[in-house]
Amino acid sequence: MNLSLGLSLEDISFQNGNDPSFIRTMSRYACKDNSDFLSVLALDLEDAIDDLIKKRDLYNKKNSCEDLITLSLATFLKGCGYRASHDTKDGGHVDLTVKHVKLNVQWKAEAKIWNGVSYVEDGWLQLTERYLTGGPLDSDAGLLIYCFQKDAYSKLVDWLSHLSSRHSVTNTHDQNSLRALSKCKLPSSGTDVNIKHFMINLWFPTTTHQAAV
Amino acid sequence: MNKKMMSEYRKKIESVLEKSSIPHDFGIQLFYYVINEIENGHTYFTSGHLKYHLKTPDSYDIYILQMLVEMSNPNFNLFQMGFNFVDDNKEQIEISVTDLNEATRSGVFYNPETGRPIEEFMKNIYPFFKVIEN
Repeated sequence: MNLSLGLSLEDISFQNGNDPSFIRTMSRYACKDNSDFLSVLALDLEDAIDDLIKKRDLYNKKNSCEDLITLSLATFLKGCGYRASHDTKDGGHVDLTVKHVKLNVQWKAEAKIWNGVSYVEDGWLQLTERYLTGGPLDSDAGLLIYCFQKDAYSKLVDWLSHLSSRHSVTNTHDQNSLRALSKCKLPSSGTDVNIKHFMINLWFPTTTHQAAV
Repeated sequence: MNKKMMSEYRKKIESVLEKSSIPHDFGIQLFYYVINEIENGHTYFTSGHLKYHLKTPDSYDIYILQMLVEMSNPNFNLFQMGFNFVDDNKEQIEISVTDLNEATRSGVFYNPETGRPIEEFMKNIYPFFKVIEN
């Protein structure tokens, strides 16, 4: 160890068996502002989604409602140390609200099971017309789309195409092809907001035959 | 630091040590050392600083860091943790959590002053701990 600087991140990673979770915890604790909070939450949310996808055989469109799946994400994020809640009252019942334990910052998301573009659009409208205020700490949100059908990517493409045909938005794709970001002006405040789309692939074959099709 | 605050911190540190792999007596020793240093006006700590003064073996390096991190937990609220990038001239440049997370996500870190991409950047980034003024 360097006796002035201490352990480097590489030393820390090595001493933790290259498990990135300790450095992630450090980064959560070190947050100073909304940008820091959003950057670490983005990583944690992807881990929560990965965890959900790994358990996708437990969910299906018939027995799983949006609330149950969102609750699973909220529980994971609580385990990371956030104040994460489902169905918080804030201009309506927000499906997922995540707050930092110390900073006065939060992130909201609306969840929809993929049932065509019109149904997802309801979620978009809830976010942009009711839940977001467009203030400096309330201009980022997420749209969680749980897809129980095959080819989630084409569903995201259809949704973005529908969105841009009906609303004034600028869409950009993410490195992850099942994610995209839309920038638009919030109707109420006239300020810019960023809404990230998470197309979450929960399709799972229930029979061998389905898997082969 | 008044008695009430000290007692609260002590309770918190006991709670941390109960759930942690940090040797209990060492954790308590480090905690009191840190509190004493703060009383003497020190406001900036690194794990290297504590290793030097406590003369601990290398096997305790990670425990020192874990203690400092636990005391930076917003629920503990003794330290504000930050990260310094150390460049080729040994100059320390504070970087934001946002920059660190972007580097972790993309695998690329750019020197904040020169814009030059830094290979193996994790070797050059060090956490530090500043006392939160109450």
